[in-house]
Amino acid sequence: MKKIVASFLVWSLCLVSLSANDLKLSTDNVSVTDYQNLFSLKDLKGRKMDLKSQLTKGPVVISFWATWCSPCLQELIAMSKYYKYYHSKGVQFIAINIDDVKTQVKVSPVVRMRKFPFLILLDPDQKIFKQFLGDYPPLTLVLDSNGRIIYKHVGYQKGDEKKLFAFLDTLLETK
Amino acid sequence: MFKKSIILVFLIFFSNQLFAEWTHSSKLTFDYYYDSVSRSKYTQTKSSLLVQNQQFKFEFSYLLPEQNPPEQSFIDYKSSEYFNYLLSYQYNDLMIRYGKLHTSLGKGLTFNNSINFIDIGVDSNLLGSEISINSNQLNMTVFYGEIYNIFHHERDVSVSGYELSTPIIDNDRYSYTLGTTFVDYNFEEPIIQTTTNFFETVQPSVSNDRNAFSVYHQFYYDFGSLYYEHASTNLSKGSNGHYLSSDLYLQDSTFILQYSHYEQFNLSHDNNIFQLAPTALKTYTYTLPNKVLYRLNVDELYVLNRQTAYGISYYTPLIEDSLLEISWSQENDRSETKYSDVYAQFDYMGFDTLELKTGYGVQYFNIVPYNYINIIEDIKWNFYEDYSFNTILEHQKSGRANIARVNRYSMTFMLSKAQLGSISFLREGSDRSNSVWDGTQIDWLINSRSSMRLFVGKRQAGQRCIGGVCRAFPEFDGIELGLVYSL
Repeated sequence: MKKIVASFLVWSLCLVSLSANDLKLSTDNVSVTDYQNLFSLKDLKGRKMDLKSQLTKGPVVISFWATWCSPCLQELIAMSKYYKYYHSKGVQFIAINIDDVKTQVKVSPVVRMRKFPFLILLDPDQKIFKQFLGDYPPLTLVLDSNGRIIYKHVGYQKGDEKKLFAFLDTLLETK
Repeated sequence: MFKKSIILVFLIFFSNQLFAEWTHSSKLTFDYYYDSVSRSKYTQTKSSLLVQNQQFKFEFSYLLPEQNPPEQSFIDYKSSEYFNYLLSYQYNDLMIRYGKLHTSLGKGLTFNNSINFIDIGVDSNLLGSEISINSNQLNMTVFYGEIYNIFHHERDVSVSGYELSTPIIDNDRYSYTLGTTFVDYNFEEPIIQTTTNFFETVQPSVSNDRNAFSVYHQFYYDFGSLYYEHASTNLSKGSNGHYLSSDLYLQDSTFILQYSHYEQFNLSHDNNIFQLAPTALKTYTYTLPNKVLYRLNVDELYVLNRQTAYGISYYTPLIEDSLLEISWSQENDRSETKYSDVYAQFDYMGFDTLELKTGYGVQYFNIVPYNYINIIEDIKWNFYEDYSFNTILEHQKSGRANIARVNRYSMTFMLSKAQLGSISFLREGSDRSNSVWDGTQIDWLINSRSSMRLFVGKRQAGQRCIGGVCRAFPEFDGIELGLVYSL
């Protein structure tokens, strides 16, 4: 038990330290290598799509979701109501589905029936989901034009989307 | 074990200096539980670190348990499995990975180890290397590695395989892709001989080869898609598998058709299943339909020996802001129906503040014979700006005509506030023993980087399922605490 408590405390210190460094990175505008080339997935028609082509158009909102995840669907429904507005301002939306082969057959019908306007990509092995240290969906991210994560939110409750939209508003104002 | 943890702590602590030009993120989870039923307590921390630049990516995670994880509750791994790592290199369409990785070929008929759900302690990673090319003209994956044997507690099954696919036709209206997969499993197997005196003698093990080959066809067109994969193995004559899925769009409605047939298609060793082939049976998202014992994953061992399954789902918006789902699925053993279910669910989101879901279904087992009638009501009330109150009521009546039926129920009441968290009261009960299992769960989003989950109370024994993967858990009465920090 002592080991666990000790390791927990050490980890907490590490995270506090990292947290401070992370802020410093942002405020000092230190150049950070980007993610762009590490991301290439197939869409619902089996065509390859890479993140780079989206990042050239503006900031990208990424939501990891699954057909069996009810909060994910609620989040996508909430986001789709404001999609037109933010898309017209240059924000790109990508909904990355992480259903594995057992349930993947449901993806197309759900997208169609819910009329999701986003670009839908498939990550059945959760390769990209794990790349963003995802454990459980929904996981929502915003990437800037360099491919850096500038917003991250795990889980969804009604109203959470307001925080995302407020962030996007601030981002678009400072652009 | 502790040294590895210290090394990882060091890496995280100095990661900014060591990897100044790299992007990094990290996560720490802390779990504690005390169960008064088994009088056991358990504590573990898991730390994850991801460092990457444009070409390279390093993922590390380390699980530090206080003691060996209790059976059936967490991944029962030996200590060497607590350290996970994955190194990746990507250059344009080429990707090379080495470490503990997840991958699948085709729809998983020949190989699928993509299952990784921490919440139910299921991780089917492969220790090995993989090279893949993912271009518009060609998709190729080649891998070699070792699978963890959950019964031997070691990686004693080696596996190698490939997938190759290319689009034959690709235009705006339709496309056709042809693909093939091949897998070779190799493991040591003891020879057991029974003598005339009914004594068993075990001789030195021999190397055993099993391989599987499949061809698949994928069509996309304006009004839907079609996927068909046919696989065969060297297990015995006639050993093969077929899987077909199709979705058809008719105006606002969608049909999904699925068919699977497996004949002596059991690519397992010591009850470790390798291929996790897809089935046409329905996957449920609510609690009670999943607690039906038949739906255990271990049953796939039997299922893959001789199974034919059919599934049809129909989705349509009856009225604006609504969705009606009707589904039917059935599994046959040879020509006899072994299991069937029918389910209908109506979702309505047309009110300003109310979201309604109501479901009704029957699951029928021909062998026992036994049936389960499920009724589900899911109502969500959104009020003020950020609050919502969600009530989920599930009732299940099980039994057969000539014996007394058993009623089970599950109730969830959840009050949540956006960006703060939720509090839930959960109750499960049954009239068979007049038993009641009550629990309270708090999910608190402490800030954008940390969250906490606390469960206090009782939980009935049964299956928990995520994404069609189920695992049986024993009865629980105690406290569960989980903390997550992420950067």
